[in-house]
Amino acid sequence: MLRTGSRDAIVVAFQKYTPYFLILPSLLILLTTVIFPLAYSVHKSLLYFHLFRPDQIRWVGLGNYFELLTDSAFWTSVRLSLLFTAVGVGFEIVIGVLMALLMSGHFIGSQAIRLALITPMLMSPVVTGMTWRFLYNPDNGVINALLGYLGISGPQWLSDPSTALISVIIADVWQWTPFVFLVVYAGLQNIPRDILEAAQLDGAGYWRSFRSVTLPMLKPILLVVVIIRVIDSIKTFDLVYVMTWGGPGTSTFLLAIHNWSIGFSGFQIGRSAAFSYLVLLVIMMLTTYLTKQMRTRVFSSQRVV
Amino acid sequence: MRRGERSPRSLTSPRVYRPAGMSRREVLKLSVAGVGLLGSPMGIFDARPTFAATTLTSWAIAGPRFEFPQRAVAKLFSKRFPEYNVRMTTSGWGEFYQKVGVALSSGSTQYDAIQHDYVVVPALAGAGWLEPLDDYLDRDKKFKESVESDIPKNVLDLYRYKGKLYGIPPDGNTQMMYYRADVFSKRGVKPPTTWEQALEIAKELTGGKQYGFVGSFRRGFWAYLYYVSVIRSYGGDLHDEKFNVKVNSDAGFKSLKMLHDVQKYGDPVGLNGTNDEVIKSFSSGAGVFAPCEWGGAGFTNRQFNNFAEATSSDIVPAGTGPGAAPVPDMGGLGMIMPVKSLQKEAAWRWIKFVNSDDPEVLETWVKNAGQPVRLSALKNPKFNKIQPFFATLAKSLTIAKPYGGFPEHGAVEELVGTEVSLAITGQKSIDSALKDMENGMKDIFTKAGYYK
Repeated sequence: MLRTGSRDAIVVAFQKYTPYFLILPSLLILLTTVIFPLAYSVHKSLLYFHLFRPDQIRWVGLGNYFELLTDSAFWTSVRLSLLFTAVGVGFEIVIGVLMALLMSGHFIGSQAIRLALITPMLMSPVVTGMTWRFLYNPDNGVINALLGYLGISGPQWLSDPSTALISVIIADVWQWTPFVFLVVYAGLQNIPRDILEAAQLDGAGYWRSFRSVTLPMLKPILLVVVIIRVIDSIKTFDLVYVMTWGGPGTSTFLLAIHNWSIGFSGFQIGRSAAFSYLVLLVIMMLTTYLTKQMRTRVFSSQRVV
Repeated sequence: MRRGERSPRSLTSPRVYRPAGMSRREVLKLSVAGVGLLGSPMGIFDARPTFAATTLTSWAIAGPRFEFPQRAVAKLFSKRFPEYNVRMTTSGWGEFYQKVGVALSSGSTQYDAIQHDYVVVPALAGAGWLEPLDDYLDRDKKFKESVESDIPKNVLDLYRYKGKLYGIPPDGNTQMMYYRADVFSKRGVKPPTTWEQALEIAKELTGGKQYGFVGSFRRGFWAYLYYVSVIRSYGGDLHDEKFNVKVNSDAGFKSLKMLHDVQKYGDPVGLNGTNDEVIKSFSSGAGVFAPCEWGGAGFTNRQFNNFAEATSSDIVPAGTGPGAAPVPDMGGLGMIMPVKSLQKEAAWRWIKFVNSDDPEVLETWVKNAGQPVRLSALKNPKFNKIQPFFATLAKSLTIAKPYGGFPEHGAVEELVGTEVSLAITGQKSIDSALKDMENGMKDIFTKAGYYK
């Protein structure tokens, strides 16, 4: 039979250490699936490591990082990815908001149309890429055939360095605008009707109501959508892999396909790991900048409202 | 409790909830039927004599040419040797090399035989991941003699590393020239023997919606393969056996300029094209001449090409100048055995069967979209009727040269393939592209420790 003092000590110890035991399984999972792979990849990024040359593995420190930062091909990919993101996300936001505004009313068939509008988002990027690759085929693709009927000679789309990137952007916008539409549509439903009615009573037209009431209230949602889409866009791989493999030349050699070619075509694991962390840096800088910019405008516009 | 009602203590109570209208017996019958339905795909009620059969796993690239013939031959194998069962695993071409590399480097014991590219054999064997096959081959003198006499020596040697044999190829391929014989005949044009003649033909045959040339110049792997064949046809090469870089040379310049010039008359689809796009170009009638494309059923099979009957093949053109000769790239995939396989004897039986000279095996292979490498099969008139390009393939195999064959070839592929694509599309000058290829390759080989 335990003495009262010992029993109290056990109870105190139990109360103190039980929370740690309860979160231990989650911590173990986090350790093995997130922390260890991260630490492992950081370590690999500091090595010359070719998958098929275990005899040549050696420490190079930040050598992989310096080489990439002084490689013009890396900066070409950064520039192309930023362009892809800026143009693609820009169009997605504009078209998505317009679609949401158009669909915000109730009319016959609105539910069915909404469902049809989000269908592209449900397709896998590989299927989307293959479909658009067939559509863009200059010899027997549908797009140039339709343009031909209108007497227009269609461009070479994916085969021309000057049109390849915009062709991939079009496919990307087609696939992800429904995501923007869905989120903005949900946001529009949450705007209080009485504020809009009050604006109308004060003589504000549709455009003035949208600019002064709807848009400021949508800004927090737009901030989230822009950040999500920017991160996704920078990481775009599937579409480019299927449609152009980064070509013709390097006209669509975005960051993700560039990294893939180093790691999974060249099997240069160390360099590829370093590349991934540089991409992470690019994403972090972009999202920090966007968050600061939008927050300033969101807070200032909220103060006005 | 009435039927259809849930007990208030149902969360902890051992009493089973019964849907309304069903008796206990009905629920039991339904459960057994459900387990039976779920069980059969899971193999619980598998009728195969698994207690007797040894199951081995064979890994191939998905689709015709690799997967289809292997699956068909696997059925034959299991019929002839009921004690063995072949479980086929496939991966798409685009991810096969990567998946195999990762599986072998991580020491996977899952795979017993893999049909893989000779290009990676030195890297995999050098890393100690492949089982040498010499001892297995020596056990069966008749089979060894058959392999060594019927498979071209330059092809079999591709699977050797430091004197040991690590693979045996049931499949062979090279680049070949494809052309619309009807169009050529109508214009009174003969198939070219040099690239300069090919350029003239391309000019002659381009007009309206027809392109006198179509090539596969997609950035990376495809552009690299095309360029390697052409630079060698001009008597040059990317580097020598000691990895001294030779690309920035007269032959290097002439070959890259030739590709740049001939593409002016080419179907633009080729700039982002693989073999698929070239076949589609032929099928639509747009492209009528492809001087250097990979052999395959696509060009001469009605299923893939509307003009299959009018499409003929020949060996690739030569360049001009010292050392010029037609030099197609060597292709083909051979059967290798991972060193971590747990069924080595079974794997060897399977590899031997796939590579045998048994007429039924060869016929099964060819009829299921396979491309044999045995000369007796390629010259067999019966098989030539099925795949008309076999005769050209037999000729090409004897003059083809391998590419790659060292661990860093993937990085070289990417570098050269990108620079070639940049030069052909006019995004970079030819001199600048050659200079960047030279510097890039030197950097790769220096880091790999080839320069002592």
